[in-house]
Amino acid sequence: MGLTADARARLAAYLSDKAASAVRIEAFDKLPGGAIQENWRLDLAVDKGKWQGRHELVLRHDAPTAVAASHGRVREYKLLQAAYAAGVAGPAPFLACGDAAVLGGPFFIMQRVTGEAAGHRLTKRPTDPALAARLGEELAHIHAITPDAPAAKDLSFLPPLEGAASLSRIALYRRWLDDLQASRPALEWGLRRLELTAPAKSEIVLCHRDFRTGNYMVDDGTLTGILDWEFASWGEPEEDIGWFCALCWRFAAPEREAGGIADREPFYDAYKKASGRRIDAARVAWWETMAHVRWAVIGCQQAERYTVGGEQSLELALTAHVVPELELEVLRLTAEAA
Amino acid sequence: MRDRPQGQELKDLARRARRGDPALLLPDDARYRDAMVKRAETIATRQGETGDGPERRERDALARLLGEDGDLAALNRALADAVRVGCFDPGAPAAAACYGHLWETALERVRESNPKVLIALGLE
Repeated sequence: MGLTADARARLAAYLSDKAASAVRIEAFDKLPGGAIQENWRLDLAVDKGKWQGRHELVLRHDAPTAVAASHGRVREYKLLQAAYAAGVAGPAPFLACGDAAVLGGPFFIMQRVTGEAAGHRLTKRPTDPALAARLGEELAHIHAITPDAPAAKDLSFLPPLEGAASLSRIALYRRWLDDLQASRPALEWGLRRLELTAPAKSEIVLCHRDFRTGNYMVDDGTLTGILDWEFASWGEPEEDIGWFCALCWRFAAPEREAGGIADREPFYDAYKKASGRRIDAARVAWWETMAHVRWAVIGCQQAERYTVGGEQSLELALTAHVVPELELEVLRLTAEAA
Repeated sequence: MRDRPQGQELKDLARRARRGDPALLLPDDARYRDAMVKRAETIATRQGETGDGPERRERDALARLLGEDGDLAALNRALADAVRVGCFDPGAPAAAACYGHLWETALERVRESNPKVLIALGLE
């Protein structure tokens, strides 16, 4: 949905009502990026009441091309709230609105954190073991949210995880493959090999499920926030660890196995220290292979939004051509099981 | 099997992007946008150079592997189904042949989509 001048006026009226005060929108500009969600810079001035003062914020709502697996914005806000309450690095939640009359669809507002998020730029900087360690700590904070933890009280919308996460994800991605126009034998190969070697059920924690370079913000070398909670769900810790370390998310520095920013050791050591858990290398390796399968299936879905759905987006169209290298990596990682 | 968009469709997308077609959603970042346009053109050029050889080889290899005939999409569907139900599990007589076919097909596709990956992995 595009945000018109009318929408801006409706937003100001809505916020004024919530604030019980006059609210002036001093800036409202679309931020770069966001194939699935759009993020808008939103600066507010509030005359009095609970929000009195100036606020530098981000408003997040669905882009024209949303994906089915993404939570709605109100749920994503609840996930952000839960993570923030558990001590995960900002952005602080500000407000969520499920009323489509305001902007044409649900949205939420959060504090604006500063810095750089682009993976291809962050991975061209010198190796940064301190940042990797900080990310290990943050992931441990996220994984401290278990289904019975106080921080999870507002997350009842997350479906319970039945059985092992490994088998649950295999079943899910097969359903996604079945919905595609073209069959993907290489991904079927990967899923079958993963099925035959699936790790047993382990501890259930909140998984971010897109915890990777590109989805956190770094300002002058300091982590300022974990972003993009739209895919979070109950899972097992190694799923996030494997996603973060997978080759496909190392961008310009494939030799740095912790997200393209450092070796694994500082990331692992900090995670283990902060979580009190050990890291099973074999389980992480399994989830790294799964990371490539998952990204490849999502890539196929994105491409079909152009080829089948007719969404005129160059970025979506070209996602089809990322899939072959992901399939090659899946085959490379399952070669010994051939 | 090549993924859509391919060939002329990729060239058309690049042309629309270059002339600023308002109906085509483009990335905000100009450098990223230019890189995507170049990528679309480059993939189309590579596909034009290789012609239909890769898809013919893929179809023939599939027919041999499965022992049946058909068009490429149907044979790929048959292979995907067979893999899922375990026909090519470790120890199966044709497991290595299946892997070899998938590997060669993936290599061919990456040669068109992003051959730098093959160099980075030491595969070419």
